[in-house]
Amino acid sequence: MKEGITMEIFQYSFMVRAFAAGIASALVTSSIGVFVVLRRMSMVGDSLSHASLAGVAAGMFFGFYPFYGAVAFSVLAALLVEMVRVTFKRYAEVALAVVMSASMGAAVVMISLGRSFNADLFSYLFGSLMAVTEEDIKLIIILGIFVMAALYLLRRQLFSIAFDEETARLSGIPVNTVNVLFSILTALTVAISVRIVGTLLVSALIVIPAAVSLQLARSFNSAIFISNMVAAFSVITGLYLSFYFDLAPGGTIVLIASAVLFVVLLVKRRYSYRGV
Amino acid sequence: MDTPVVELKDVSFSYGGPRVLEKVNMKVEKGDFFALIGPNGAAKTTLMKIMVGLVVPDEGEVKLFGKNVRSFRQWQKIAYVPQHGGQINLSFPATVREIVASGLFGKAGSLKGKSVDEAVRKAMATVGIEPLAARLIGELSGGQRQKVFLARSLVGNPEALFLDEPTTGIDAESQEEFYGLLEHLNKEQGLTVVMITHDIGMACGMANKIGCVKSGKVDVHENTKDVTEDHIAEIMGYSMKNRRQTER
Repeated sequence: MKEGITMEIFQYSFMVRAFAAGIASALVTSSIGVFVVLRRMSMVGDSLSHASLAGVAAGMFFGFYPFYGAVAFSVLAALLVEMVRVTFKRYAEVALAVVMSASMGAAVVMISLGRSFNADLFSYLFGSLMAVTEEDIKLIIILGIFVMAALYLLRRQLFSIAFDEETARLSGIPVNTVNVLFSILTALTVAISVRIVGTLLVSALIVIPAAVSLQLARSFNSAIFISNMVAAFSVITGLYLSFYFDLAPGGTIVLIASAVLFVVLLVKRRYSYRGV
Repeated sequence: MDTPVVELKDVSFSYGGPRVLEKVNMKVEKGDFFALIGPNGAAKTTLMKIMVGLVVPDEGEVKLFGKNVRSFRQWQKIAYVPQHGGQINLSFPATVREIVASGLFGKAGSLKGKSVDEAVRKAMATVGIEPLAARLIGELSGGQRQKVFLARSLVGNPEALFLDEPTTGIDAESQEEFYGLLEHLNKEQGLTVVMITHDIGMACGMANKIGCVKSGKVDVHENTKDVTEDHIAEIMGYSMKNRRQTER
């Protein structure tokens, strides 16, 4: 009976697509999330997701596929953030605030001009099970593989920069180039995840699994692994629950990830009080 | 004669206001143990960052191993241990082994697999932190952390080591051990050491050159056997009487 319920969901092709997109998003966001959190750039996901919303709005307004807009706008925003971050080193958060506000402004203007307040827009805002198309899946898988491969190749450099940027520079790592590449990878990660989680919640999927992993990890590799597991668990459970209870997938996934973090913090605190 | 490890010619620098370094000229030769001392805010860290190319001077020329520092790319020749006390992210989820290995990530593209493991093991053994290999960096004491950073800097077999107040915040016993290790590396293995320190006693006892940074200038004293602690303290404006009372 239980097996019936578990497998029934896969009779629907849209759910198969949702699971494929969701798991790909989970692995990518949770891997890059560890680096994002360690570099104290947790707000970057929020800024880039707002930029991706502007891209979606541009797509709807100018009549091209909104997903392409999300990819293009978030990459441009990431490059802009990195440029401002380098210029105003001591006020790096200014870059995030400016990009986030400007993107939101552009999105709202384009949405109102195009009168695009419709179900499609809401699917990009909050994520949707039904909205993931074959074309989305292809893009998500291709970009996902690209981001994961790039992260694997850059993992050592990113580790060194996250731990100590000055020493990384003096050990011959091209820090500026790696930072630009990392910004682009973060932007692609945001764009990949927008379909399932929605622009408003994507940064949570980047930050929360990483936050859990930092509480539990006993090495850097284990931090990435734990983050991956928490994100995959949240996405799979969230998709199941949103299917059976007709909930918005983005919100459900993020609530589950938050619950995992809450439980981990609670258990850790309890043990630390006991002096364990 | 060997090319100097570091050569500064008429180097000046300001942070936008008055100059903190004014026409500095100095050389660090191969095999030197060069101590940089001076009061807080004397721009010692800035000077060291200029030497390794992390800060670009307003004027003057900086050479590392005979090359202009801006076009210097032989990163395997140098290693830098920044002023870390309290600045490192103690919740960083990395083991001692992972951090020591990170010293190879930029410069040793040719080292792979077992060679990396061997180099990391050797560096950890040199500074005596092998038993800590699987521990998280946040679980270590200040002295142990400094040894980890030293091991990370040594893992690529550098020719010159730049250390910025490496013993700040660690206990006297660990300091002694740390200095002993540096002396061994300098004397037995010929490693050039440039170190910022507030410990005049150590500088006079171990260094063969002392650079006193004060009022934007660097007075370099060679043959440090002839230089007494009191003399250096006087130059620096320290009161040795007060220092000794404090130490007691």
